[in-house]
Amino acid sequence: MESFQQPEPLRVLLLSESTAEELGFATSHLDFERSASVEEGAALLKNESFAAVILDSRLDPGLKLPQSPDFPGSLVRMVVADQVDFDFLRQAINKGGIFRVVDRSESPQRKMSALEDCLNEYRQDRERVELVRQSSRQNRELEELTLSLEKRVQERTRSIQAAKEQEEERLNRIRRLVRFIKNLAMCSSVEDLVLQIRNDLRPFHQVVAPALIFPTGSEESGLLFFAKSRVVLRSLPFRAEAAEDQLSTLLPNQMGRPCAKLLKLRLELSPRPSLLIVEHTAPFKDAKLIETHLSEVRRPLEMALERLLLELSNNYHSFRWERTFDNLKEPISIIDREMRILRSNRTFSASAEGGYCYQVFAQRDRVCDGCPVADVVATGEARKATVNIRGRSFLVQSFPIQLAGEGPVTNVVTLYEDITEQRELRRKVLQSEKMSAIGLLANNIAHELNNPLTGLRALAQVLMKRVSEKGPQYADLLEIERAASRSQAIIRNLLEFTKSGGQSLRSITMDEVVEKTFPFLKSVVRNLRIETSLSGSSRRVRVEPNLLQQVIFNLINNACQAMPKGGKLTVRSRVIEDPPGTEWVQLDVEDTGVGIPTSEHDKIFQPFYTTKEEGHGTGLGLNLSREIIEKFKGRIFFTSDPGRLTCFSIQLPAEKP
Amino acid sequence: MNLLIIDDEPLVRRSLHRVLQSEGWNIHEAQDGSEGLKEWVRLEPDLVLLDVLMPGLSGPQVLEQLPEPLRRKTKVVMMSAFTGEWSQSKTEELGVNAFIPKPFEDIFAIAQQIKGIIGTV
Repeated sequence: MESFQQPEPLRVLLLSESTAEELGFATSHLDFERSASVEEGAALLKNESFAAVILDSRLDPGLKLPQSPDFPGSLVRMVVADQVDFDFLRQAINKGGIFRVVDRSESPQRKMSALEDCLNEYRQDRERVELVRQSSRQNRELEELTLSLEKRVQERTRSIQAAKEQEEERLNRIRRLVRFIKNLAMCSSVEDLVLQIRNDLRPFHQVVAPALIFPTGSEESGLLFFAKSRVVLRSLPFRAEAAEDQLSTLLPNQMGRPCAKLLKLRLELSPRPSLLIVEHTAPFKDAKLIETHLSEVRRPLEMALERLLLELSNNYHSFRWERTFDNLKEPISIIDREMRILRSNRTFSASAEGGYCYQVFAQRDRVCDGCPVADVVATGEARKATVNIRGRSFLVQSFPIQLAGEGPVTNVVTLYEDITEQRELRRKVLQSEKMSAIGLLANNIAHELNNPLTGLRALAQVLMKRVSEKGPQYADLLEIERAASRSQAIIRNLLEFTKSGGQSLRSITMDEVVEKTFPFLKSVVRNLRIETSLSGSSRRVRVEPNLLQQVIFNLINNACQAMPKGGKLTVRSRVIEDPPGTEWVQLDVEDTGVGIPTSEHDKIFQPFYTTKEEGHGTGLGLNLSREIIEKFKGRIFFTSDPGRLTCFSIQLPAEKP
Repeated sequence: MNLLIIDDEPLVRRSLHRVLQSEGWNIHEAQDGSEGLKEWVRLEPDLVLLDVLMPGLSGPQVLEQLPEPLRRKTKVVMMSAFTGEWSQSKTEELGVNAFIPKPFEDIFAIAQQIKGIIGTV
């Protein structure tokens, strides 16, 4: 530190023409410099430093000595004056900044004492100055210390802040990761997943968009990418691994635009990997950050994607299964043990699930006759049966399901196959085979009967020639001959009736056919009152007579069977006009039997509709009858008042007379 | 004049026998095809009434097995209940003289018909 302290002995500047000793100052311990000119003194003061200045008033009576530039107002100045009066003192203090004034005449002790005062003053002053210097230096040092302390505090604060920010950033990253994982868990499709990835990458401003290639089949992949903010799915005919090396051409081709830089991340999934691609425009350093981030989220991504792909394949299989199920032509139902529908396909029921199978499908309020389900539940074995449902014939196959793998049957799967046509066809074939067998049989019987009948009749004729026409033998022989003749006629009719098809259309009267038919029905009409009113003979109809005969036989037979306890059978024929100008020959077969309930009216002409016991009716009679009548361009219909009258009518176009 | 009736139905044979006998012809009977064939060869009849369907040999089979000269010198009248099968064309094909459908309506009319055929000799 610089010191302004004068070294001892102190230097004193004396401006006087007299020496210090002459003026009465002891010089032993002081270093006096004397100058006899004010100007010189001023120059000295300017360039050198002194502890005190003694000015001889004789040299500078006007006290013009300038102040020391170094110590303005502080340099101790003393005047040696000849006459010290009040004015001089005032002038010395006010004008010259004089600190001490001594009279020239005063003793050297006094003078030295005054000088000592001055020097003490100087010393004190110096000390004060020094003190101030030191204190200010200390102040400065203190300030500097404070400053550096503040700086350190600031630095510390900053570093703490930075650490805090770093920590927060780390926390944020973890939070973001957790949120991302949560969002991934909520993804319900791979498209969702790609959207989530895009959201996750949003903080990286240079990311354009992610894309994903994932396996969809054993040799196919799906490519998901963004086009105008929408997710687009394309299928690729190769595996994701195969796409890895050709991304730079594949992606632009698929997206229809050039691509920026691509980052790829292989997601290892079982059984096959997927490929996440991130398109970005980041420089190398930032790309590294994205890559780091991606590597952080890789595992959650893999898990989420694996889950979604598994679901996808499950859904796909279940979807495919359901479509197959729904599109099956045959109705299928899955029911519980109580026959409540759990699931059914569209052909079974257009509406949603619920209700009992017999309500929904058969529109009945109780279990269908012949239903195999109860048997399946009881035995745990598959069963099939033929069931009539809504006028159609179904082959119903029921299979047990044991959801527990064993134990009681929990559900039953039932498959319904509409075999109406098939059955009808088979019945028709059977019917026709039956008819042709009957025809063949009848033919043989007719031949066998005809032979003896021929002989019988002929012999009767021969014998009749030999007896008198008036005698009783002749009448007997005549009876024999007639009976044989009648028998032959019946056989002829029978042959006609059973002839299986192949007959050509012929003109015939309805009455003729009716009359030929009655003999076959003798046994069934035995207990009935019969009323016939045949007035249709005037007009002919064009038919295959044997087929028409079958229809009439059928109608009369049905009428008789409707009256097991007897009743009245009416067979009527007539010519009618309907509408005016169109003539028909109408035949009515009317009975007073049990009748047909209104609810059955729709079904009566349907194939296999029968009220007879199993094995007694085929349910084909009325159906075939209608078919035959319609073949002859006729109509068949009925009216029924149960318990009173039921009338079946056929109308055939009347031929022009 | 020798007539042979080949028919498996006794009543048919009997009635034809009675009614044709009254015409003054010699009537012979055979009860099936094979007996008929033998009788035919033995008797060398002028006219044969031949049923179609018989147990053993049928009418046409009898015709087939008959020696050709004998076949040619005999008139043949076929009889059958199977009118559908035995049409006129079939008659011609077999080279028989007439076909009489069974059952007969009037045995005397048949006799007249046979008389007519014999008369054409």
